[in-house]
Amino acid sequence: MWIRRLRAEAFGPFVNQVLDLAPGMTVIYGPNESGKSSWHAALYAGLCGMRRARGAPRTEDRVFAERHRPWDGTKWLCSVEVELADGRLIEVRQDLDGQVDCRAVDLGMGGRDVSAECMNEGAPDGALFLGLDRRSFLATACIRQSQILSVRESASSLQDVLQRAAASARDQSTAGEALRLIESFERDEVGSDRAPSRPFRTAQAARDEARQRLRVAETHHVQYLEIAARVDQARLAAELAAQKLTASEAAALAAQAREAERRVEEARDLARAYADGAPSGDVADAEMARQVATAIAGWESRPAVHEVDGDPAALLQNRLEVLERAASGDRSVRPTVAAAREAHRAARALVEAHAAGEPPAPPPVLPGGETGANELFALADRLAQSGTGHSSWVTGRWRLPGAIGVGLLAFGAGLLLDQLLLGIAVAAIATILGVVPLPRQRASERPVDGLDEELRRRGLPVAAQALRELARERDTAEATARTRASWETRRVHLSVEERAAADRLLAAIREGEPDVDSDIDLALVTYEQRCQARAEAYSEAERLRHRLDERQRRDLERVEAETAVAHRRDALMVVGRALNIPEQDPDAMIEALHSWESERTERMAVTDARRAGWARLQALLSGSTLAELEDSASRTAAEAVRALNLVSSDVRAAISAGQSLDLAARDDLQLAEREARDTLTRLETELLLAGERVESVAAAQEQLSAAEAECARLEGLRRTLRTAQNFLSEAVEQVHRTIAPVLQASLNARLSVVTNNRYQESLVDPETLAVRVRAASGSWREADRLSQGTTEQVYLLLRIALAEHLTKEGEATPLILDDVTVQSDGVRTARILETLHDVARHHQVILLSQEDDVLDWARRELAEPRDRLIELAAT
Amino acid sequence: MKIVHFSDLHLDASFAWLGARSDGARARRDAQRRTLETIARLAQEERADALFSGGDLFEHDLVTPDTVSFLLGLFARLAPLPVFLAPGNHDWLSPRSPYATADWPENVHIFRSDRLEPVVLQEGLTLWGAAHLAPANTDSFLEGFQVGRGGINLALFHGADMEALPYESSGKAPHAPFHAPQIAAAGLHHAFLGHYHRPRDREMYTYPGNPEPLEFGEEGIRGALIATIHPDGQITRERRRVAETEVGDLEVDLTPCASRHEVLELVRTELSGRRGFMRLTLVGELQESVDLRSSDVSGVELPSGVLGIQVREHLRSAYDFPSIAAEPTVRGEFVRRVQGAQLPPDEERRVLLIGLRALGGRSDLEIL
Repeated sequence: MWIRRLRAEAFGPFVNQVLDLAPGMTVIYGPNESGKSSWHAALYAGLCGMRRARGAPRTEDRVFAERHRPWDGTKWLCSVEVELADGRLIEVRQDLDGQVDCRAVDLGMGGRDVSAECMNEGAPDGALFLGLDRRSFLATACIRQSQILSVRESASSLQDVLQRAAASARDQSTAGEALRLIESFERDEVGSDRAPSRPFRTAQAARDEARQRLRVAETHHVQYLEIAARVDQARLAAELAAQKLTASEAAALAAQAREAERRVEEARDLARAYADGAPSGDVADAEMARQVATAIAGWESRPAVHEVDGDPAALLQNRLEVLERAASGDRSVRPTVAAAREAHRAARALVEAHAAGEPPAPPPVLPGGETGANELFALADRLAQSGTGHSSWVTGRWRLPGAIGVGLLAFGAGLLLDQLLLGIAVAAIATILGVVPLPRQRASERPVDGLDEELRRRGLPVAAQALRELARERDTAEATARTRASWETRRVHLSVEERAAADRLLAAIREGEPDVDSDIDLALVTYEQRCQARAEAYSEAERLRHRLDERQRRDLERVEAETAVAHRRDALMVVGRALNIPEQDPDAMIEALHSWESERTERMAVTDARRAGWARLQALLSGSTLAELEDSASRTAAEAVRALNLVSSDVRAAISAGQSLDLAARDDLQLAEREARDTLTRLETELLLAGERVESVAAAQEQLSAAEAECARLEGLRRTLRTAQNFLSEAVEQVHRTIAPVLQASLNARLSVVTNNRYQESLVDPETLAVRVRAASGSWREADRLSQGTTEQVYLLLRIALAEHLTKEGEATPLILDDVTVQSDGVRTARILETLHDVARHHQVILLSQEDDVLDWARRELAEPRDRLIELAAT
Repeated sequence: MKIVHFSDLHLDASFAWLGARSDGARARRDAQRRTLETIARLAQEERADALFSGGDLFEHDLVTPDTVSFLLGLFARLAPLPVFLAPGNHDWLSPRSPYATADWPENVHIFRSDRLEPVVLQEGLTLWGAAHLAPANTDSFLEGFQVGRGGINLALFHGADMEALPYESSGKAPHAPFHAPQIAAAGLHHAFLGHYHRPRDREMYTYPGNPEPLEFGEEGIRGALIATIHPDGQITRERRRVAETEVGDLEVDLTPCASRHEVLELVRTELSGRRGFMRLTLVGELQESVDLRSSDVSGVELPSGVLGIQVREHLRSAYDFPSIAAEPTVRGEFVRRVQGAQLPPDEERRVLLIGLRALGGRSDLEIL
């Protein structure tokens, strides 16, 4: 694109003025106040226009308007004719004031309106044909003196310019600044989870608090509903208990009412019966009636007088005395006699039993003569040893009988001493002493030699076998004799015992019966017979005594009965006389008295009935009048009706019908009703308290919803910020990576020319867009640290490179430079102008300047039609 | 016989979208109560013979003791006018429900069975009612049901006509479902219903709709129904608006606004003269320079009469994204990358605006 013509119909000081520009380099020279700045503004405004936004204008727009509005107050109009790279000739007309007469037309197409191609914020923006817009055009294609100055004064401004241009092609934030803005915004407006004072943490805390509050509210709400349900149950229970109590009370009142009504009716009847007042009493003959009744009862209950038959008492008494005498003495065997009798019977039984076991008597002569069995055996042994076979058994044969005899003597001595046991013991010892020494004596007295002789001397066989046989016979005979002696000894002892027992028995009998026979058996029989006889006499006496007592009692009863009958008859007669009844026999008198009593009873019945009726009336009235009683009954009936009205119809019907309600005792019902009511009151209090605790769950939900929404908003904001941050970082990296080589290539293409071969190569850091240049010596230097002139040149080249890069492909951006050399010396100015002139081979360059050096250079270097010098006259 | 019928009042409902302005939500709940008072007054003024509630009178999980007391007092003041309450799925009857626990006035009859039960309104006119005993899975009240008696038979319950379900909002569940022909088949002459918030009049049934607005965008004439039951069983219906709250939609074009101040002034101006609760939809092209956050608009000082607002935005950006995307700059690359990332449109717009604003040196990076 190049701007062919600028028409300022009404712009600042200009009215219908035209500026025709060259496609290459146009230098617009003018001293101060020549309108140079106005033309510069008009160029920009004519091409790009002004945004037609709603609301108040931006400050820069307002300042621009203040400076460049037509001085004569006419409509603010300007236009440009541009030729695009595609050959189209476009006129862009700007109505900067009313924003109405704005349009872009294709002059080659007969003025066809192509405004739609370049409308931006309500006005045609010719920069759009370049792929820019009015703001980026201003930042890219318009190079002002101040920008040059900033490059010279700031070491980092060159890089900064590149970064800003790379970021947005505007003189705005760099991408780095934009990223820091986002980061800072997130830090301040969202914050991390751990930053307690930042919004997100605060929102989380508020959300947690809201959740807790909702939980509490829900819990309290549930508790409230639960208690309400319990209250309902308690209320039902209380109502049921109250109904039962009410029914009970209603039933009681109904019964009271019925009773009251009945009493009133009764009282009414009685009142009518006793209209004359209380009945008179009649108690004068009461004592007489009592006496009559007593006399009648006495007579009627008089004892019977019976005749007494049987033996008279005197006879019975005599007979009794005889029998008592006959019964005198033992009527039964005395204990001492009985004991003695039993002892005697036992002793006698022992004697008899002992006698039954009597052993056979020993032979009168023992074989072997005097020689005992042992000696015979010893002799047989000696004989056998001596070979003779004879043994002497005669020696000592009388020793055993002797010993027995001694024993008997000893026993007898013991008995004499009245010591039975001692006698037995002495006899036994004596016998043993008489027998045992025999063998020893035999052995010591008889020598073996001469045994045969001795045997024969003793009359004993001299053969050992015979001697031994004899010894055995002798031994058997000796044993029989010993047994017999022992039995005899026992028999004697038992006999003595039996005799002693008989003596004691007799002595016992004779204590009461001294005249009995000395024969014990006879004495005992006699004693027992006497006892039997006395016992029988005694029994008879007892029977007779009973008969006597009975006879005497009956005799006494008869006497007493006769006396009582007499007294009672007298009493009858007394009351008869008192009642003026003629004396007569008792039965007649009784009949007369009964008649009197009957008459009196009839009289009394009438009187009592009257008095009872009166007493009943007084009891019914209880001190009140009949009217008052009726009123009381009416009130009771009314209370009953009211009570019945409180119960259900079926209960009321049952009560009215007098049916039993099958209810518990009233005290129990009252207790149950009170307990149910207390429970209800307690639960109602709980419900009241629970109700006070209940907060609106809905409000808590709403609060939580708001808190969650705030958290969600902040989370969403953080997510969006980070997303934007990520995309921006990626975009920065990508664009820098793209633009760095472009800038580098563009700079390299002109660097050596512009710097007169002092610098031949450049390097643009794709990360930071920092620019370095290589000197002819080969060393690399930061572009910002070059000389001011060189920096300005590099800056211009980079601006041109940026303009080329930012302009859409196929188009070339006009470059409008305003006094960019005003701070340069002549040499640097020339260099810049040469650079620009070189640039103008590809871009339209419009340089506004007030410097004579520039004028001179232009006059010298610029040639129509490619270039043009426009000299403005001072206004 | 004339009755006044309403349903779906949803006392103590949560208005979470007003959470940031709890006073507004509280005002909404107060308005619900005043609406019920209006319905009660209507029943008295119309000399109605009965007042019907078709369920969802309140929110079981949210109902407060104060609301229960309010209901008891209000209905008691209506005595001897009989009030028939058929619990719905939001105010289902449980042992803990106020229906079970509160000491309701004598003139209030609560249907307590999940089977239709009769109440003789007058000779020859029977009302059949049923209750939801759980918040969900309530079977049809009409399945296998027959009135089995002569005269005029009406029904009152909370149920879902399955034919109408597709026309309801997506979250509406088919509680106690039925098919319209079942009404006549059961021997009923008309059913007074609750559940659907959208009013719906059919020959055999009537949904009065929620009498007090619950959401924005509710359509149809809602309110209390005055129904006259003629001796032949014909029903004459008339609706009365009883809503205490006005709910409206307002579209505000922010295109002319060059600053946040202007936006807020415009919003206040547009809200001026409105009443109740408004849903603001911000439309137009928001200029690049305007630093506007969502909290700015939602927190705007409301003019008198406006109780709350809900803000939606359907704004366009003033940035010329295609042109920017054509730039060989970081800006252009950023836009290209964001637009190529297949982000959700709203997220994409926000990311773009954040990046572009940051590149423009702006610190107002929260995007409405």
